[in-house]
Amino acid sequence: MSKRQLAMVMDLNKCIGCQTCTMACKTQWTNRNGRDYMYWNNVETQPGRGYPRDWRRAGGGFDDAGALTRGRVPDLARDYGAPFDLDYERALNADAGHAPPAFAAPPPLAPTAPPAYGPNWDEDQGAGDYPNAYYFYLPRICNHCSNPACLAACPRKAIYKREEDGIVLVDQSRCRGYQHCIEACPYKKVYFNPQFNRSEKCIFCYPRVEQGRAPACAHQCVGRIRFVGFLDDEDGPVFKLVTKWQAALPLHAEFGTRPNVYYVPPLSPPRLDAEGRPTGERRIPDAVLVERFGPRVPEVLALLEAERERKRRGERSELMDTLIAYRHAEMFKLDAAYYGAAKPKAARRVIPIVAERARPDGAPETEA
Amino acid sequence: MFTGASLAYGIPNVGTSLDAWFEMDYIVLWGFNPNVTRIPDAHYLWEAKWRGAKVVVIAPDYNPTAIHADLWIPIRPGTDSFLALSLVHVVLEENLYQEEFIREQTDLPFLVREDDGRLLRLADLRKGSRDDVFFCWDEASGKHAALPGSQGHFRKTLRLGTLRPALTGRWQVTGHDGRAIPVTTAFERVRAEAAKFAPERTQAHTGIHPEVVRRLAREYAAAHDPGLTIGFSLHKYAWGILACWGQALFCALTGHDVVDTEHQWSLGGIGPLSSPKPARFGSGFLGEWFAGKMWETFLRHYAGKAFAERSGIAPEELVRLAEHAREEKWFAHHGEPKVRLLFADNTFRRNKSSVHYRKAVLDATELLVNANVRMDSSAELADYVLPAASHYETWDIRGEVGYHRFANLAVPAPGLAPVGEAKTEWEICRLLAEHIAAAAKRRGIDRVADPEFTVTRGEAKEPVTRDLDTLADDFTLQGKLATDKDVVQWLLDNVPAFRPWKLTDAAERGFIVLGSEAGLTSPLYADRPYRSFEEQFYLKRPYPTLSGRQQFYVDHALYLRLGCACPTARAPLHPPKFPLAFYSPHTRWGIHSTWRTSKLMLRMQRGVPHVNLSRADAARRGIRDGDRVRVFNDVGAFYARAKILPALQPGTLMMDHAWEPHQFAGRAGMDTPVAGLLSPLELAGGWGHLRFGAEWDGNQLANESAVDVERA
Ligand code: SF4
Repeated sequence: MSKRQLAMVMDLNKCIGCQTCTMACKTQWTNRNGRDYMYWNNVETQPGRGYPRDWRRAGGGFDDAGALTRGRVPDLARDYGAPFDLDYERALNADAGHAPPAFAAPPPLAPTAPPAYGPNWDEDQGAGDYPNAYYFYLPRICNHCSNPACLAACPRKAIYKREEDGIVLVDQSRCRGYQHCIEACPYKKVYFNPQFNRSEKCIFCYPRVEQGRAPACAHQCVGRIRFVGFLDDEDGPVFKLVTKWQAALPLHAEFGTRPNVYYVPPLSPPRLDAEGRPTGERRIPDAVLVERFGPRVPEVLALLEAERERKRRGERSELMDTLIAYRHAEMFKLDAAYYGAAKPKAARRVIPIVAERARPDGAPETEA
Repeated sequence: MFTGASLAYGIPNVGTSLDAWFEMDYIVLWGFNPNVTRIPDAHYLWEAKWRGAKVVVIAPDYNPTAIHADLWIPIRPGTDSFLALSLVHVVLEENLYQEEFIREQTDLPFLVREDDGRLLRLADLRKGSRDDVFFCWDEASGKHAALPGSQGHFRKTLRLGTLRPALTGRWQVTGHDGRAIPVTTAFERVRAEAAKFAPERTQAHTGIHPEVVRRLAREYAAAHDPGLTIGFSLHKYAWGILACWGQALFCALTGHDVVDTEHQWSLGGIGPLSSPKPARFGSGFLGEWFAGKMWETFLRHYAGKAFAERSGIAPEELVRLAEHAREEKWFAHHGEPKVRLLFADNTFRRNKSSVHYRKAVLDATELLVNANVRMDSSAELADYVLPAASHYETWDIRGEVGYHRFANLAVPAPGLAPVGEAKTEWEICRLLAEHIAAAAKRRGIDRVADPEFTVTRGEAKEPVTRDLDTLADDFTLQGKLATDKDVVQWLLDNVPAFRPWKLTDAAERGFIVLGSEAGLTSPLYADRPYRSFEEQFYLKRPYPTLSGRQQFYVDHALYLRLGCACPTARAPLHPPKFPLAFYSPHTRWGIHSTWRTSKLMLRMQRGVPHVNLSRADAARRGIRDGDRVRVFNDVGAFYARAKILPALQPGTLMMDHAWEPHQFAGRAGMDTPVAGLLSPLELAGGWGHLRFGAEWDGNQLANESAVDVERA
C-alpha cells in the first residue's frame, strides 16, 4: 500500500469509442520494439470478448480467501491479434514497369497475414436483439491496483508500487520475463515484450504526471471523460466522484486487487416494446452492469438521473458540474511541485522502459 | 449538398456551430451520428445531457450516438420524409405553431393561384411586370398586398409594417386581363398536404409508433431552445431533399430556429486568388452521371413499374430529365475532358457504380494525371502520379466547415526535407501552369477562344479567351505567390474572417480563432455560438431565396408536375427484386478514404473491408461473423468479410463508406453495386434561387440501392 494513490475516473456516459486515447498511448509508448501488439490503453465494446480476447474469463487475481490465483497468458494471434503490416509490394507493384493495372486486377491491398483478432474486433457489436440491441464502450488501462496481483506473483520482486503515488511499475532491470504477472493480472494488462524478454505495462505516463500533466490517454480524450488526481485530494475531481458522491465504481472489484480506475456506469435509452413504444426500462440490463461494476450500479444510475433532473430544473448539482467539466484543466489535479518535494531527483529510480538501445546479448540496456 | 435546406433557405449549409448544443434543452439528431462523424465536438452533447437536455436520436441502426441518447427512434431507411411530414402534421393539427414567426419569416402567407398552382406574381396582375414580387392577403386592408423582401421587391426587409398577412382563406384577385384569379395561401397548401400524413398513417412506412411521433412533435414545440441536426446521409436517399425540406418546415412552424445542416464559414476575400475570367465550373453530380454513363446502371436497377409509381416519373423519363437539365443549362456541363488532372479527389473511390464508372471514364480519357500524397485507388490508375507533399509538410489553413470557430494552421517542421520528388500542391500547380504557358507560346496557341463564355465589348459579343501564355501569372497574382507559405500569408492578410491574426502568432499556436466576419449570414460573435439566421430573425434581413423568406412553396414546373410544390413525402426507391437496403454512412476510421488504409487504423478494425449484417439476415443465409461474403445485385458485386451487428435493422445491409477499391478482390469496391440514381427534384433549375452553383447542385444517391448477400 502506497502513501498516496493516483486514480482515474472515466465517465462511460461520455465515452464515444473514438479510440483517440488508444492512439495517444500507442504513438507515445507502444508503436515500436516488440510492443506493436500491446494496447496499454484499449477501448472495447461491452458486452463483448474484449481485449485481449475473453480477458474477463482468463483468470488471475485473488480468491475469496485472499489467495493469489493463476490465470492464463493470452496467445498473441488468437487473443491479442498479431499486429499486421500491409503488403503494398504485392498489391501495388505487382506489375511494375508494365501498364497500369486497370482491369486485370492484382491482389488487393491487405494485411501480410490475415488477422484472427484485434484490440477492437467486436466494435459496436454488443448484445441484445434488434431493436433492443445494446452496448457501451469500456476504456481500460492498468488499474494501478492497491493490491496488485502482478506484484504478488513476481518471484523476482521486479514489480513495485511507488510510495508517492501508487503507480505500479515493472523494474526492467529485475524482470526476467517469467510472465507470472501476466497470468496473475485478472485484467490482463501486463504484456510480454518478446524482443526484450521482459514484461511491460501502462506506466500511468509517470514522466508526464511528475511534471503535473495528465497521462496522454486522459489528456487527449476528446470525449472529455477522464478525470485524474489523488484519491485523498478533497479538492480534486477524483475525490468528489469516488468518495464524496460515490458515483464512480471499480471494475470487477471481486478480483480482489483493489483497482484504482473507477467508472461512472452508463445510462442507456429505454427498451422498445413490440409496437416500438419506449418502455420504462433501460436497455442495458442492470445485471450486465452489476456483473462488471458491482451491486451499487442501480443506486448510482438513480443518483445520476436525480442530479440530472436537478440541473434540468435549473438547480445546482456539484456532481453534474463535475462530470460536465466546464474547464478541461479542472479534470486533472496533479502537482509537479509535489513530485519535486517528495522525491529528490538523485534518489529516483528511473524505469528504463523507454531506453531502446539493446545490448549485444539482446537484453535491453538499463540505466540505474 | 443539403438540397432540402437550399430549397428552404437559399443556401445548403445552415444552423449553428456545434457548441450551441451545450446551450440547448432538447436535441434531435436525425440521420446523424456525431459520436462517429463529429468526434471533436460530440462531447457538447453529453455535457448538455448532464445539464438536463434531452437527446433523441433517429436512425435505422442503434448507432454509437444512440447509445447515449434518452430515446432512440428506429426508422426504416429512406422513409424520413414521412416522419418529417408527420411532425408537421401534428404541429398543425394540435395548433402548436407560432403564427407570428411564420407570418414574418416564411412564405406561408404567400398567395397561391388555385387555377394553376403557381404563386401569385406581380406579372399576373400587371402585364409585362415583374415575376419576382409576391402577394399576401392583408387582413388589415382586406385586399391583396405585395410583400417586401422578395428578390424583386425594392424593399429589402422582412418587416411587415402595417401588413397583417392572412395564413388561411380563399379569395379572388383580378388578373391583368381582367379575369378573376382564385387564390389561397401557401399555408393552406402546406396544411392540406400535411393532412395526408398523420402519424397513424405513416407508421406503415417508417415503422414508428404514432405515439412516439406525437410526443416528439409536442416536446420539440414546447422546448425552450431545441435543436434539430441532420446528417448528410439523409441526402443520399432520393427523398432526402423532401425530408430536409419537411424538417425545415417543422422547425419554422415551431418557431425554433432552423434545421441544422452543418453551416459553413464564409471565406470572403479569396476571390483574387482565382482568374478574373469565368471558370469552367461544372455540376458534380450531373457531370459524374454523364461521365460514368450511370444511366445504364440506373435503368438496369430501377426498370419496372415500382419506380414510376413511387417517384411519379418513369425511369426513361428521368434520364431525359437529366439531359433536359443539361440542355437548359440548369446545371453546367462542359463535356468530357480528354485530359484529367485530379487534385485531392479520389474519384475512382468516390463515384458510385464504381466498376462501371471507372471503365466509362478511363475509356474516354486520353491522359490521366494525379497529384497525390499516396498511392490510392485513383493514383494507381493514373498515367502520371505527381508526388505531393503530405498534409503535415505544407503550409496550409485547414478550415473547419463550420462546426467550431477554429481553423488549424498546418506548419511544416523547420528543416523538413521533401520525400523524394514530392512538392506542395501549390508548387505543382504553378509549375504545370508555367510549363503549359511555355509550351503554348512555343506552339503558337497562347490564346484560345472558349466558345462557352462570351464577353460584351462595345456592341459586339466575343468569346472569352483562355490565355495560356499568362496562365501562371494569372493564378499567382503576377508571380507574387510562388509558394504555399506565400499563399497562407496572403490569406491571413486578405480574408476578413482571419483578421487580425499574424502569421507568426498563428504558426506558434497552430490555429486561428475566426473573427466575426467568418459568419456567412450573421456575425460570429466572440462570446457565443454561431447561429445562421440571427440577422434574419432580429434585424429582419431577407433570406437568399426567391421569396426572401424561408421558402416552403416552390412552383417550378417540375415540382408542380411531381406534386412536390410544398414539402411532402415519398416512399424509398429500393427495387423490391433485391431484399436488402444497402447504405454506407461515414466511417469512424477515416475522413472519406484519407487514413482508410492507415495500418494503425486498420488494426483497430479487422484489417480488411467488412460489411455489417443484422442477426436475422445473417442467420437466414447461414452467414457467420467473419465469413467471406459476396454482396451483389444486377449492377455489380463485391466481396468482403461479414460482421454481425445486433444493432442493425433486419432488411438492411450497412457498410462504413470509403474503403479503397484496391482493398477488395478484383478492385471491385463497395460502391460497385450502387446504381446511378438522380433525384428528379434535384434536376430542377433556372428558377428563383434554384440556380446551379455553390448553393444549388444535386447528389449521388448512395443509399437507395438494394442488394443481396451470400456466403462466398
Ligand atoms: S478518447 Fe475518450 S471518448 Fe474517445 S474512446 Fe478514449 S476514453 Fe472514450
